[in-house]
Amino acid sequence: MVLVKDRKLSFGERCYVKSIVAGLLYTFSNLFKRKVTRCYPEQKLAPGPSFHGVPVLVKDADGHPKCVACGLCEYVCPSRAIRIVATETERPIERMPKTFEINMLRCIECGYCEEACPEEAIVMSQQYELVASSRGEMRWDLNRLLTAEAALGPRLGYIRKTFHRFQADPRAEGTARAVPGKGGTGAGKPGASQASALARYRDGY
Amino acid sequence: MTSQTSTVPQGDLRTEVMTLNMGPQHPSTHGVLQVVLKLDGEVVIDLEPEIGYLHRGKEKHAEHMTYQQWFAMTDRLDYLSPLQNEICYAMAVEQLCGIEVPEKAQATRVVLAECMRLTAHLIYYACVALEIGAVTPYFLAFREREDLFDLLDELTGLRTNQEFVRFGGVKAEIPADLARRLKEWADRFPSCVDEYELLITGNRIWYDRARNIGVLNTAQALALGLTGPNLRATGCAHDLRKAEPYCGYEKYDFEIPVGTVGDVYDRYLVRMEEMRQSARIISQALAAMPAGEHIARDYRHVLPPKDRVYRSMEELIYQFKIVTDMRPPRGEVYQAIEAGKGELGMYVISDGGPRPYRVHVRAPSFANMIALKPICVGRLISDVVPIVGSIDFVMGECDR
Amino acid sequence: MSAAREAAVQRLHDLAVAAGGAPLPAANDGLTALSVPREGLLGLLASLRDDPQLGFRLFLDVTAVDWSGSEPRFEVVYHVYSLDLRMRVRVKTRCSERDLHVPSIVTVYPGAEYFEREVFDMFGIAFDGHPDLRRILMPEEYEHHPLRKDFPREGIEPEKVYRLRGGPMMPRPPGAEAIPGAGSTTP
Ligand code: SF4
Ligand code: SF4
Repeated sequence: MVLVKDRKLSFGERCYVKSIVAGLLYTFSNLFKRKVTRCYPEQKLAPGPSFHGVPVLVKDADGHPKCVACGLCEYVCPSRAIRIVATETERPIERMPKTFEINMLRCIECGYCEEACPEEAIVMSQQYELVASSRGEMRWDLNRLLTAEAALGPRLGYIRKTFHRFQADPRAEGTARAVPGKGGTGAGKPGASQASALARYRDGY
Repeated sequence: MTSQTSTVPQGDLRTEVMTLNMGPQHPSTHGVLQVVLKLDGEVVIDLEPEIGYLHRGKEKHAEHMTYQQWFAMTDRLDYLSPLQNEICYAMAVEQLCGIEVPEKAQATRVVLAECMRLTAHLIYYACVALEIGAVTPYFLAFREREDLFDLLDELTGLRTNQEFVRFGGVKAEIPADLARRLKEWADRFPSCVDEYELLITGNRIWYDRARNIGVLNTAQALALGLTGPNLRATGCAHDLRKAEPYCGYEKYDFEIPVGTVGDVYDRYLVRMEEMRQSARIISQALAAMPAGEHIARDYRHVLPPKDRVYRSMEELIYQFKIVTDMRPPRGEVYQAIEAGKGELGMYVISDGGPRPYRVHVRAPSFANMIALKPICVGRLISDVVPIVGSIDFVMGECDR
Repeated sequence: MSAAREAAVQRLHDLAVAAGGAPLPAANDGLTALSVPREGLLGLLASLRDDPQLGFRLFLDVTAVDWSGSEPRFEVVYHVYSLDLRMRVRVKTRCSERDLHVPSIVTVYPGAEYFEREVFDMFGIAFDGHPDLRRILMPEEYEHHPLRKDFPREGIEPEKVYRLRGGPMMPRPPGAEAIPGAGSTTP
């Protein structure tokens, strides 16, 4: 269980000879080994689906943001990078963001917003090269954030695989589509439905 | 370096005591540590570490953030082993809330924690060698570190400040393909440690600069609050992974390396052996990954599955409730784990509200800092650099 | 082991009572916790360390909690560890805002030196008998104690530029504005 580490130098080592020879041999042998460095700007990284690039908003087929301006991502963001102003809309989702701004200088790409979003509306993209010539340019507005769903395919697949943990329960299929309430302040106490949800969580969905 | 001089007359021989600032930009100070040295010739007669250059008020932040949000802050404490900080914090809050962590999550955490120990020790090896003038080890250590970071990047999506731990478990399971590659890496790694050792362990220059330099005995180390490799180098086999196994460490077969003298060289030997043992633990944990779920089924503290959130009102409410208003019960927890640098403790106090009432981090780097003065005083100034390196601290954690 | 631990817990309780304190109910982590008035603190910690049955020789941590609004307001919390028993113990002592000092434990555990300086820095609690009680993380002339509950999260805009050790004190140049955005948390 306990390993006592101790070491004395051998005669060869005390004469410096051994380490000089070993060191030179080691260096020489490295001339013939595979290169481990990458020439970065020429050879780009190819991020996989799990990669956290900058967060972007998902645009649905009609070109509208999927976001319903519920404010969860704004609330959860540890670096307070997100600013949302909500407005009403005629579309079935009823609420949408009037302005949605992410300050990329503040964002630490943690991905909490993506995890909190109940609408799959904000996801981490694969962009990792962020350059701008002024601070203002680093505040991405709604237009700049909106990204077509098709371009985010791998990431959406990854989210579905990661966060859809349990098999769907057929009982839930008929449940009415939820419309989130007022943004940011939370949904208050779960009401009468709590008991049944509680029971379902206990017996493992 | 700036210096001020003051004169101290000694008989008829006039000697000068020189005050010398080492740091905060000195390369051997691992970030922004300033050491104010008082020198008599080349002998250090007094020494004062000046810390706080990286103080960002993480503990104050905790009082204004939700429990979940503070995860992002723990990553920035010891930024060489972010996941270990997360594991410690998660375990503290889990105890507070009484969350049962599934076995698979625990095994995954063991893998992550040992990967973090490896990256931290690799940096130690790289720096301590660089500080005495050996440049090659630096590149060797970074070679393996980058390989490991590639794998962790694929798992967590983040390269250096990985964040992966959640209350109740981990964010996702390790995909089978990645687990296979990680295991291959861990199986290969001990041979890399042999390579590292080939370069400096038997090198007389390193030996002479490290042997019998900066000696501490066990009693001193205990009283100073040293833990981790620094304590084990003195011959005291105290390791929380064995003493109070957490995360199922009792299931794995590994040894605790201890030193004999407690000098710079012993600290080096202990850490090199720990790397081999960590690689063994990673292999074992990946080979025997239990079946089951990677996160607890706990409706109060764990975000519900997303497919449910999209479809059902109840889960949507829980999603909102947990993100904005997760309230652990009133109470306090001191949770300690064996981090790469010693005992990392998180003291979390909850007043029943959605934000921690107080979080205190017992940072091993901060505790190790106090050993600097007793070790260095009376030694030559050239010994200060290997000693600072061998104590091994990260200023992000020290200053918090 | 467990019998030895139970005996140790009993002994700890006896020692706490002897020092004028009392055992505290176990917290969520199940640590043995003792509360002790500050007069008995040094004696209690010394006996924790030296008692052959206990041997709490590994010093771990000193911190403080600001229970703003209750009296006494501040609580100083110590954690020490016994290698033989593989057990931690938590010792708490309270002190009120008007009388803000506790004895320093540096004579018992030299490792507490920097931790006590940090508590002094963050809460303003003085440690009697500390060899070098100065701020450790904040600048030396800083006026506030950041971890107190009444210190705002955004910080307090400093009146002057604080001096680095050894350097001259720099007044803010006339007409210079505060650094834009400094201290604010809004993006
Ligand atoms: S990735 Fe993290 S920091 Fe960035 S916007 Fe989302 S929650 Fe905020
Ligand atoms: S959490 Fe999702 S739906 Fe809610 S405001 Fe953010 S992006 Fe929009």
